[in-house]
Amino acid sequence: MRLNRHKHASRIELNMTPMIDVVFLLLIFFMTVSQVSEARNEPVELPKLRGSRDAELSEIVVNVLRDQTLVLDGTRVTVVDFVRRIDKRIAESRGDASRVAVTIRADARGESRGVNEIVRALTRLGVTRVRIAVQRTE
Amino acid sequence: MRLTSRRRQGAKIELAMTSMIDVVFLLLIFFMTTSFGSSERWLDPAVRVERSGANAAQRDLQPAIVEIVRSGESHVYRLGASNLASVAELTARLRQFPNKSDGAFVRVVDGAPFGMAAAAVQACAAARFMPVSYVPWDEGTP
Repeated sequence: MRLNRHKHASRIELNMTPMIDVVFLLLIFFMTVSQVSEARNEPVELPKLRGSRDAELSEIVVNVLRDQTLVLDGTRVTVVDFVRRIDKRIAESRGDASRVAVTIRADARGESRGVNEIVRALTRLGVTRVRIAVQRTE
Repeated sequence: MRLTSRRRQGAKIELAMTSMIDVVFLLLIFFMTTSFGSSERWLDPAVRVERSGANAAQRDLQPAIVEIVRSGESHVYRLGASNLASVAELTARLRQFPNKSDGAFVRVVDGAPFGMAAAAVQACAAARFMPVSYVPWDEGTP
């Protein structure tokens, strides 16, 4: 019986440190995953402008390099390939083109030909949610 | 009872620094990661392909149409009959337009520098035009 009494008297300690540790590791994991998803962004010199709102994670990001090459998900594509991908995406959205949003990251030093081709193609497909990525000016 | 109180008074308070340093470094990494990823912003122009100027002709007031045209070796912004060399000039002129709700159009020919096209969209937005339309323009279109 005395032994049992000793057990009742033992203190319950809650060690928070490992829990905080794990929570922050999870947080960093998800932050890193979101950073990796930005790997679709090619190194292009974006126009240095104020913009209208902060960039968010975008589903479709098309990069237009200075030499007017189109890069989609790290792969060089033609306008025809791009249209095919967007068409597929519209089909996945039950044919609703208004649910598809495209972000264009174009090099400010290049011509507008690549962007114009993309915009013409998107307009033909009925996609109107188009964003132009810019670099924040300090 | 006396024994218990003596034990409590004599107990050493130990501060585990390792765990605290662990958490502090994790916080540091977290804030470093978040601060690097948010330098990009978006411009949200409406997009359209105009085939003729019929829509514009139906309006009471002439809409703001910004074009980027070649002038000698470089390109300039054209607004009406005026050629403007800088974005600041363009923004100042656009602010004088009364019909902001009719929106503005940025006509961009294939050969125009994209940096200028984006700057023109930004200038229209800064002059409070709503919406601002990005219009790919064929140089042969009348």
